[in-house]
Amino acid sequence: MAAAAAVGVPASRTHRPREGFAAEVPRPAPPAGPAGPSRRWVMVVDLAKCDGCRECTRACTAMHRVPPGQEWIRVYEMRDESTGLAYWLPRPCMQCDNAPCVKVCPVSATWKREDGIVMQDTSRCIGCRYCIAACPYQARGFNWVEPAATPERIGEPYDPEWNRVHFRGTTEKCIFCPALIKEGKLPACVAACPMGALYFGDREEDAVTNSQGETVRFSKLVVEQAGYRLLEELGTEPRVYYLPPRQRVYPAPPPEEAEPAGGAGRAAVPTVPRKRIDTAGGVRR
Amino acid sequence: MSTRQATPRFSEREERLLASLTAGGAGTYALIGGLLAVFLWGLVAYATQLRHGLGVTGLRDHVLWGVYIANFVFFIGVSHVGALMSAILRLTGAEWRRPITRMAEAITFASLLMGGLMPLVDMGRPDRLLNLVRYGRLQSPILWDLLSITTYLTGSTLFLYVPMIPDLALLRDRYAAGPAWRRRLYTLLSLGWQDTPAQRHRLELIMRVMAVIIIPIAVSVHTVVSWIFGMTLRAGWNSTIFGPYFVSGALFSGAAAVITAMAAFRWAYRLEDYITEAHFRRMGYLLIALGLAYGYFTFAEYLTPAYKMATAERGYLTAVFSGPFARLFWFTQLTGILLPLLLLTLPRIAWVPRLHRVPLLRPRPALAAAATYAVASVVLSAASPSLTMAGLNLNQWIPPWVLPTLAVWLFLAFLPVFHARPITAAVVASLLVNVGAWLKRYLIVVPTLLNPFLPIQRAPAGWAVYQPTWVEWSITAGALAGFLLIYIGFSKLFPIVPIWETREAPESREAAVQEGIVGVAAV
Amino acid sequence: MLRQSRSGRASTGLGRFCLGALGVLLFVLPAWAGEPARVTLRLEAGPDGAQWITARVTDAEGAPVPEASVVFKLRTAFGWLTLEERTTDASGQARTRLPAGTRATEIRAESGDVEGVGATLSVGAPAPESPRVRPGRDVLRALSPQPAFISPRPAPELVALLALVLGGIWATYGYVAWLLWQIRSSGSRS
Repeated sequence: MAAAAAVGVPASRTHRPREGFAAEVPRPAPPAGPAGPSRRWVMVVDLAKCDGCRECTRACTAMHRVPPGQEWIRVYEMRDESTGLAYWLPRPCMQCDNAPCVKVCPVSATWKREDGIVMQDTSRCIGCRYCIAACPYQARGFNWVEPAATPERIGEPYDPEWNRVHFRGTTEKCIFCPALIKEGKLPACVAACPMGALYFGDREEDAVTNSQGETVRFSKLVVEQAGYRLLEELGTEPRVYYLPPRQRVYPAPPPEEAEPAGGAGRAAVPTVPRKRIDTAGGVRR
Repeated sequence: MSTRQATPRFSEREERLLASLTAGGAGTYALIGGLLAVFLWGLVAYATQLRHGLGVTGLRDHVLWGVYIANFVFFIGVSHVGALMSAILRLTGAEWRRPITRMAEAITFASLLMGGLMPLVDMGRPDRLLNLVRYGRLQSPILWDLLSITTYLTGSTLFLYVPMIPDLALLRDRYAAGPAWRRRLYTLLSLGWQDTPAQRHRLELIMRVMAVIIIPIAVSVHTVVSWIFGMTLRAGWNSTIFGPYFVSGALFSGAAAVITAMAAFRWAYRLEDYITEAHFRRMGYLLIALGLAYGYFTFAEYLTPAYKMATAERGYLTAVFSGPFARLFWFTQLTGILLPLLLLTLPRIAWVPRLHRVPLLRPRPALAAAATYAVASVVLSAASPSLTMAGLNLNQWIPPWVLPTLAVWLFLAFLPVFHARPITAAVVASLLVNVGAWLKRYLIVVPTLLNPFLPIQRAPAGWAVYQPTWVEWSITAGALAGFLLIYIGFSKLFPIVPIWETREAPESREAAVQEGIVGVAAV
Repeated sequence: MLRQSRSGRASTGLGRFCLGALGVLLFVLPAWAGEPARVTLRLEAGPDGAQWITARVTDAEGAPVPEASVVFKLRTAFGWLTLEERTTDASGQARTRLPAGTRATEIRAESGDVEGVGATLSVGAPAPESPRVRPGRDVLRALSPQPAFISPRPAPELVALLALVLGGIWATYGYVAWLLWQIRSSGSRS
């Protein structure tokens, strides 16, 4: 039976007990949530609404206990050319359909799932960092030192869908929070955005939802607002769409900080007051 | 196995070669001791890395590969010399290669071992190495590397071992009364060689077959190493000519390594009869040809994107041409490719010795000027921070034309010296080639990583530069020491110049048989 | 509608009051009677195979409410997607067509202005299945332009090619080893 086979895949096929901690916790039956193989998860980022507050980054880091130095969703200050528009750009993992990272992984520690998510199994990763070299979006991070949240230290078994447990010498990234999706919740970053700039949903259903509970037609959003994808010319077929920042709802990044940093160090977090949008009024549609 | 009644007799030059196997003065022991110390220090550094993780290196999320991968590409590149000397020169009938084929194959063997260790050192989880075998994905260039390098290592070992069998038989017979372990080793490895026509026929057959298949294997090895970079989308790596570019660079640095080895053994074991000036001249020609090919590929690789300056490539091209990597880049190209070619060609010009007639165009004044410049620039740069604060910009004190003028002065002053000493010229050129080769690998790996598509933002301090730490340098030095140890150890166990292959002429073979040196099998 | 009787002059005050009350009732009654109080949903397949949702709006009495606005919503993974807004016809029904290929789990129709009265129709939930662990080329074909490069296991063509090339090389090594063995055995015989 396909269902039983999919659900009852022995734990040893995907992840064995690692690092000497207790035997694998038996897999619970998946709740009746929206996860499923017929889904095609997709994210839409409305750049007109992103104000650079980086709540998404904070929520993701807190939920997954992301080791310091890594930002699985990183908010860039972008300026496409010197006299043009400056804007904030949240960049999660693009979950590319033609993922360069999946192509080069020598042990299949990262793989493309049928619901569109590019998964990561850090219990199999050998730490060669080829996937980080291959990713053009710089979406991956590496655990250079022993992380704080190792299986032994937090007493939690490793679950690739939760991705809260970390191993030294492995590569990690955003995986669109499949554990939260199974529970019927939006990914942490999407749910945390106070501006409702991040939308998430199933492309097959043609509907994406943001943190404000607005559910809109994905195709309508992308077509009417000229949605585009990052680095489209590279052919990676990303699953994250961006809506251009026209008629934005917040102030632009400050001019001196809008230059892409060439490595001077940490860019300052802009102090822009956050504004919640109430569904009645402020939606620009 | 027949027993030898009389100790075989060797000519005087052969005796000298064989003596080098057992003789070893204080100098040899000091060298081996020093290399062993460096190698052990490299092991200590690796143990540190195993304990604390890769964070002890200077690598971070942006510059995720650095010195280790540069070492890997360098060593695998040097390893191509075996296929070049043993196979290509054999197939083209270059008889002069005979004294140096074993040196070349030994370089291949040692460098493949050290080079193959480098990716292991670079791995974040070496304890999960077997995952490569258990879950290996054949679509990944890393798997292609694994298959290709193991295949080449096996082939090179065969190519190193098989031509040595007759020499091992000679050694077995010579050391019949010698130390037990040597006797056992040679007996075991010589496979009962009695120099029968049937055995000789099979040996020749093996050599012919191996010579043909080792060439495509060697070409594939560095091609797949280049495709580790070439199969990514990054600017600077996303190039179609990476395969031939890397192979030509590998052959170039491998040939240079053999010249260095030739000079070292010639001096250390007094092998002037085997390794003559003619050998250096011919290797020089080979190096020139390979250098021109490599220079051509390098030129094409940089000019093509630089003409267009597309956005993706602008960052790393500016970084190597005029940015943080500019000095390293121009130094590498000039002293790694151009200068060796000049050193191999210009000294041959007949009127070069007349340069010494020009006043001041002699080594000592040129060296004195260079030393003055070096001291001055060191002193000025040390004093620079405080003087810059006082409003003085020291860069204006030393005009930019000083350094190129000094370089030309030194070069012209030393040209007559190289004219008189062509072997020295070849050795200096080969050393420059290999230093340049390593720096070139570094320049391929690092500047591209520091210029990704999306800007480097919100990275912790120090993540946007690459500063290799003592761990990386120690492991590099340890790998080099290990390479030299394997090589020197090999030369102490086995004759570094093949004896049977370098017998003067076929007539002397008859004479050798009559003298009982080479046994006649009573089949 | 009541007609005023022609038969006589308006009667006395009581009659006027009754008329007035009737008039008021006549104005009030339609509005009061027409307040949507219940919505019933029906899902049916149309002649062309499409799915049609019919919502019937009735008031508290059970009488159909015409000219009432009905908003149709579809349950998506994380929220309710508004499909369409329609107005009921004379029989108090509004229809909308479900988009083709919708794997709907729940459909909702809401009517009324302030506090919508609604009904939800559950059209079946798909069995919850986890996505497969490492899907192969056959599944990835629907997703990726290069399924053979993305799949965990290589295409048979690549395996065959590598087996051919590497197999040939290692077979040659085996041949060499066999020749070496012959050298050894011919040496030991002498």
